[in-house]
Amino acid sequence: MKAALFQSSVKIGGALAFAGMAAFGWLLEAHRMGGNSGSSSTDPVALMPGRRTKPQGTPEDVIRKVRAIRNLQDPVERMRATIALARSLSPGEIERWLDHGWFTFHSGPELIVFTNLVRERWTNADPASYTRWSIANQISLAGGAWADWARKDPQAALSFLKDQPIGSLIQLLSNAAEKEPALALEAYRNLLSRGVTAGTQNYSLSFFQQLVKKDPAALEGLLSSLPPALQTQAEMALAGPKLATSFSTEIRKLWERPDGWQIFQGSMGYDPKTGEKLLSELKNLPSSWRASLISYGYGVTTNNALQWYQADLDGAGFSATQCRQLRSNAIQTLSNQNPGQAIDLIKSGDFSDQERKGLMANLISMLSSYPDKTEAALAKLDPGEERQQAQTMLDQYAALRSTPKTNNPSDWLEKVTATDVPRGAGYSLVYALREWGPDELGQLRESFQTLPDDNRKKVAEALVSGNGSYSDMGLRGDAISYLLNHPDDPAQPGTRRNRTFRSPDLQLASQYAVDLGRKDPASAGSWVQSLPSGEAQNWAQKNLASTWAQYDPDAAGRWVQSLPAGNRAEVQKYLDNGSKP
Amino acid sequence: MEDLLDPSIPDIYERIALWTVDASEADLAAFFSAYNKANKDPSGEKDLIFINWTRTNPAAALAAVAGTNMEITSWWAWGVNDPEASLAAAIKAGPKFVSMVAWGIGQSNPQWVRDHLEEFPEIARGNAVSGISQWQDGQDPQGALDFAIKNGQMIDERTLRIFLNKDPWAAYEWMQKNGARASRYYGNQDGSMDLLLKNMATSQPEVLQRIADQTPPGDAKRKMNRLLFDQLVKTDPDAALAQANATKGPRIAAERLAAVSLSKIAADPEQGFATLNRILELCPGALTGQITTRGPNSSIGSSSDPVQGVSDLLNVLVAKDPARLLEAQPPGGSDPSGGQPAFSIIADTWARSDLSGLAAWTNQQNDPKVHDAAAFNIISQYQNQEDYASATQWAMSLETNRSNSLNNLVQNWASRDLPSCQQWLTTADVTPEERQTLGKVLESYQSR
Repeated sequence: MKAALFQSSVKIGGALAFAGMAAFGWLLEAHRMGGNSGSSSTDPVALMPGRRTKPQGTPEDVIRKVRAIRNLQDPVERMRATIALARSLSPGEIERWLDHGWFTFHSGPELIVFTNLVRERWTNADPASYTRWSIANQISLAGGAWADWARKDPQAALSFLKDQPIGSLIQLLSNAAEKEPALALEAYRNLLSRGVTAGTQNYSLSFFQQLVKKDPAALEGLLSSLPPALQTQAEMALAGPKLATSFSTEIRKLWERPDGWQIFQGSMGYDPKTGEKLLSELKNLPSSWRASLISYGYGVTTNNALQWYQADLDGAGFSATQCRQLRSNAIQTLSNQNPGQAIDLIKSGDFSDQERKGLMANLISMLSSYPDKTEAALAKLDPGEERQQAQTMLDQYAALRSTPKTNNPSDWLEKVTATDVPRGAGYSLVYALREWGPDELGQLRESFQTLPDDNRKKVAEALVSGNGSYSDMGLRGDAISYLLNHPDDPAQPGTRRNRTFRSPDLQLASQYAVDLGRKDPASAGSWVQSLPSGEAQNWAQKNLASTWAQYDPDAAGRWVQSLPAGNRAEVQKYLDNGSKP
Repeated sequence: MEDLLDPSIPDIYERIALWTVDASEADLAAFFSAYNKANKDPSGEKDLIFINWTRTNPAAALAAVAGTNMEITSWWAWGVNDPEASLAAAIKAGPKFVSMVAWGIGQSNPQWVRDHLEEFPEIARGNAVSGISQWQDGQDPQGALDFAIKNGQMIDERTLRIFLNKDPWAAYEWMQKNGARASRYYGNQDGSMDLLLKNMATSQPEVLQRIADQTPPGDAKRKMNRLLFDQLVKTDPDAALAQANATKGPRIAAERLAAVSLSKIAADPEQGFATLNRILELCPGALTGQITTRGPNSSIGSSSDPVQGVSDLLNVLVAKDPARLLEAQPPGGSDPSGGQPAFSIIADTWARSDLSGLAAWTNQQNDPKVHDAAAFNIISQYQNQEDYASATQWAMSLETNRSNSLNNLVQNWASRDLPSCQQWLTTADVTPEERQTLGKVLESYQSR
């Protein structure tokens, strides 16, 4: 096998005809290594229950081939060898090379060329298997692959789709429609007979949009077979080219329909001149369209935002409020496209101070995503306070975007217990916990248990406040348990969490018991028993039992039996009564 | 050269790859000119031209397309071939060129990026790092994933799969430790772990089974078992059905029954109707998945754990015979689990997929309770479509709660399109009391 491959590489590219140390090295390696250090599927130890399987090794010949390429000094030789390798693989081998990432040489163009080349060879040699693989591994390529297959063997390709889940299929057909619209359409008709669900509406729209580019008549023909919900989607797609060719006729037809704006909005992406054309019809817009234009027409200004800003909106019959809203929409578009110009308009435009502030804040937040536009934009602001404020805001956005810096429990605790914690900072500190790993969270839990009482209370309250769902479950449970075991002094109610509930403790304990019960019912069972006895605990027991029983009635029953007699009877009665009070 | 200009040739990439690797600079320039004329869309084949051209004479390649839409490709390709020289030149040339080059370097030289990240101007670092995740990393998939999350990037699914194929246990352990961070862009902390398990279910189900066996009861174990059950439905549907029937937990049973039913729905839709009825008997809250938390006087909270597959089953059945489904449910029924009643959910689904069909059915209903319950969903759907004229027409047909419904509608309509709403009121067949109340609502919007 190894000799044959070496020969075939020499035959194909002529690249390895040189007698370098690298080539000689191959043969030496082959002698030394021998055997296959691959998988251990026959290892009896590995098959024992609960035992990890050993990781798969890379086959020897693969290692050799890649090393041979890596060792070539001349990039032209490397490229030739890469192409030769790609050409030597069968579809089955290509699949394994891709699944295992065996082409490990990644310093230059070789991996890119290798990957593109093997995909092309695979789809040409066996489009059926390539389609199957793409659907599972690279859905964005699956449409093209299926189209290649369908062109060669329509029967087989169409039949294959009958068993595929509908959601990903429509996405596939959208891509396939580009290469083979007629076959994609036939596949889509087959899908319809399976009962396309409401949830696939979005994907269907992109399929229709693709189809309309290639064959509008075909989409028109499909219209009557579509279920009503999809007909609207199809009309959105069909409206695109119609409006592009005869805007004034077609828009008037849409004005007559109750769903006219919906269709127009769905069609907007087709013709870049839509914004311009609509401007010319502004005076004639029906009142329902004027309202929709303001609320949902943001996209209309994409290609001619400045024109919208400068248009005679009052003359077109818009109220003063509507005019300001439309101009503000235009400025938001410009903030993205040309922040310098947008700044000029914000400063000179007829806006209230509050509106001006809002537009500027929005502009700066957009600017934070385009650092290469920042300098030019900032130069438009007054040097001094205005520019300083903008820079501060930009710095804050940058800080927010960067990876959270503290995974350090003592650091975190210090921040949360600081006397001058600003509003909202507690919230974001708790929110940041969602990215901590299990080790850091474990340390934090330990530290929590050793805090002095007043700090522990502060931390506990932060953990159960508004956004507590982001805090780690274990930590949250510790916090709730602590708070319930150390109730507020009624004379000093403190700044306890959500006072909208009459019994915040009861709500907190029960909701947590239910949430933890789904995640780890055994721990939930112990946690509920750690609460002080009383109403909060009773209801936590009932709610946990009732939820648990929906997933695992036997285990829930065993837990109920383990409760102290009084509780047990109460919980059982609750369950028997259909989980109603 | 002519036969290389047609992009529809099946092995075009290979042909161009073979030709360009040996082509002289002059040949490459001529070919590019011809290819660019013949093919307007940039493609992988054009990348090949520049990969080879920038290797021999980057300055010439860049100059040939400076200021055109191929400029990006030329800088990208230079980055692919020579990270050091291209980055230095790009830094001198300006920020947008640095971004282009960073993208190319990331795609082709991940180790160089990891070693020289600080040398990239800050604005281009993101491009360099995300360039890396455009191509699978087989050398050190775990290292690649570590680097991605350290630099705030999404993890690359193909690299994850390679890791999984190499060492599924290590991949699982890595995900247990890093899943929350890796899920940063998923909107839920379990997104990355779910991805891993989904892949494991198809490529190494036996490993997934072992992991499931070792996982304590709870959400995580259920997810794994669900993935394994879905595989069973494909490989042994009879065994799957038997398992579903033997399942004690009502939610789990409902989910399994739905999965089996969906797998047979095309061939035998009738069993779908029977199955849905059975699901609703076993698990009344199955349509919403709502879990209600109760207190002494009322419900005090709710959360949701959708029963997978039940909505899909409902959607398919609604497409086939919605009236039959609706007729099987009492209109005023309440869901013991505290969620929206089945009648309302079915009517809502019907309204969203075929509003006029629901309207026609509702018009034929003699029982005012049924009529009004369905009308509620019709009104809601018309409102969603901003068709207030139709919505108010239906509100007028209500036997109970008509005035309230009109009031709500008019509030919404007036806030969106006052003139049309005013127009409607002038000729609407409302009672004098209603006219007075609604008139006041319109007045309040007039003054805004």
